[in-house]
Order: sequence, then C-alpha cells, then structure tokens
Amino acid sequence: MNNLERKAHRGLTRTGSALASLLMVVLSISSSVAAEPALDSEADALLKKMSNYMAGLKAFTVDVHNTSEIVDTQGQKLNFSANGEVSVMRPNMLKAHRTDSNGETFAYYDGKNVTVYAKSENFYAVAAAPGDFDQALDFLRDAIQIDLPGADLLYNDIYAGMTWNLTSSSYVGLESIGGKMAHHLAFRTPEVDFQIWIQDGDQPLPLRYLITSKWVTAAPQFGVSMSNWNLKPKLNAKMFEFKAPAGAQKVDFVTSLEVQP
Amino acid sequence: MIGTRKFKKILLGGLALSLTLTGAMLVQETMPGTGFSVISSAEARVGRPLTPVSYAGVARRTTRRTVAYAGAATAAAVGTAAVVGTAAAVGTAAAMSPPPPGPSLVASPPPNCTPDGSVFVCGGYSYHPMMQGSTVVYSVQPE
Repeated sequence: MNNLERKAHRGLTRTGSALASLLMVVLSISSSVAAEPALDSEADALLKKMSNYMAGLKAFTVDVHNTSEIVDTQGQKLNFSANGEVSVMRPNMLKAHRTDSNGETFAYYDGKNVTVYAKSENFYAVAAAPGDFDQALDFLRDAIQIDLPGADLLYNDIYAGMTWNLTSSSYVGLESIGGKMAHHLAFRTPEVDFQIWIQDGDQPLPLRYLITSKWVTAAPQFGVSMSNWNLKPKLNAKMFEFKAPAGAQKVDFVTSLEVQP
Repeated sequence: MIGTRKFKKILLGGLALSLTLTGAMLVQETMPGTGFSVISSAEARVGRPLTPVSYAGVARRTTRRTVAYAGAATAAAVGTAAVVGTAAAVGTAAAMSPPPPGPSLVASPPPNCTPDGSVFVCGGYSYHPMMQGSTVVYSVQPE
C-alpha cells in the first residue's frame, strides 16, 4: 500500500464508521418510534375509502398475477408466479381461475357450495360453504385450505381484516402502477408488514398488494397485482355454478374441521 | 454507545423470533381433525415433473387474523406448491423407502405405480386422490 492508497483507505474507514454510527442512531430512533402504534390518518382514510368502494361494487372481474416465495433449507429463496382471473358478483358469488406450475385450477362459489376443479387431473371436490361471502372466504382458508390470490382484497369488509393488529401505518407517496397513478401505503403488524397501492381518483381500486413475512429467514414475500378491472361485467348466477366436465372424477377435500380459533 | 447496544438487542430479538417461527413450522406433524400426518421436515412440490423442495420458510398470504391451525397455515402459505408427506413425494426414492405407517399425504403415487380407476396400488399401499386446497394430493393407505 503506498501513501496515497493508505490515505484513501483511512478516509474510507472513517467514512464507514461514521455511516455505521449514523445508521445505528437512525435504527435506534426508528425502533423506539415503532414501539408504539403510529397510525397515519391519511393512510387509514385511503384504506377505508378503497374498502368502502369495493364493498359498493355489485360485480367485478379482474386479472390477477401473483408471486409467492419460499426459502429452502439452504437459505435460497425461490419465487413462484401464478396468473388468474377472478369474478365476483355480490352478495355471495365468486369464481376464480388460476394457472401455475401445478396446472390449471378453477374455484367456484355459488353461495352454497365451493367446488375446486383441477383441470389437468380432471378431478373435482365439493364442500358446502357458509352463505355469507366473508364467512365463506374464511371457510375456504381455514377449513379446506384454499387461499385465493389476494383474498384479503375480496372480502366485503376489507378494512376490518387489514387493520387487525396494526402497529404502524404510513402514506408513502404517489407511484405509477401499470400507467395509473396509485397511492402507496405501508402498514406494519407484529407478524408481517404489508404495502398496498390504491388507484388515485374516483375509482380507488387496489392495484398491487405485497406482504412481507419479516421474521421468516430471508423475509419471503407474497405479492399480487390486479389489472384490467371491469366494474360492469356481464355475469349471471349460472356462471358461478360448477358443471362437471365429461369424465371428471369427484374426490374429497383434505379438511381441517376441528380448527381452533 | 447507546445506539450500538440497542441495535444488538434488535438483532438478537429478531433472530430469536425467526428461529422460533421457523422451528414451529418444521415440527407440525398432525393436521387436526383428519389424523393425517402432513409434514415433519416440510417439502413443497414445485414444477413439473415433481421436484420436491425442502423449505425452511414460506411467505404468508394474508394479513388477516387466521386460525391457529398449523397445517392450514403452512399449506395455504405455499399455495402453488402442495405440502406433501415425507416418503413417496421423493419420486424414485419412494420405491426404496416405503410410506410411513398410518395415513399420510403425498404429492403423487410412486413412479410405475398402476392406476385402478383413480386409485393407485403398489408396494402394499394404495394411493387415493384428494384435493388439498387447489392441489391434488394422494392419501396413502396400507392395502
């Protein structure tokens, strides 16, 4: 090392430690802030506005792209993609189509039964579900282990579910999502952090949603993007009823009926 | 320096919590209400042909309150990748190691296992298709 290099090295080290102390101070400040719930009224208002707007829609269809991550035992993070479409007709009908690495799956909820059809295997399963839409989504999640893409955003009462256990909320700013300006909001809960992007203007639709499992090693994320919102789709009740294709075989759901709340 | 001490505390806190959660994820063995043993060291079926991946952690898919049901949380979190049992999902290895005693779920019957209707029978076990969430899995039963 010549003199010049040594000088440069010393300078860098000094800058480095200065930065490190600064970082620690910043971290300690932010941690003391995070200790108490810090809720932002603007973020809260936007979330509520979106929730109310969604609840007021009589019907909609939307294209969904989602990504989910797993971390293997070697610490490598893998990211999986799935595409689908969701159709909802209030008060209590839903249809979802999904294509992922396991093939194509269809889910139907007609207000009485839930049917899942796995196209490549030509198998389907049916279960009686609650007549209430939100209870049916809970039933899907808890009892028969179906987590529809972005299901958090399909509930009639989105707001109640997304504000449960919040420790912090903040308004981040306006961003462009697929060419549309959207409000970027960030929320924290003890287990996960999440972010949502809500379309600006008089149609406050969710455009993107991202959940971070912050305490899981490598912090895997689940994300869903929603596009091609159609708020006046041509839907009728028959479209939500499942009719078994020729040769389709009925199988049982793996259920978990004795769940503890 | 106060900042340093706090920083260390945060780091340790985070580490302990992540170990606890990961640990919890790996020890769930029985799915309540079914008697199925689901996972010990969890595997996910990803891609085609079947490529089981042992995983240490998965991304949660909801911020809502969910029931304290380990099996569902794990399975639902994986979503595209079915949570499968220990033995037969490993494909060729399944031929050498028989399924665990008692009912369990696997991603698919062993290779070269012949179907009898929708049920596969081989090696003294039958494999019955079931729908786990939106993925077809097979319940293993001794013949």
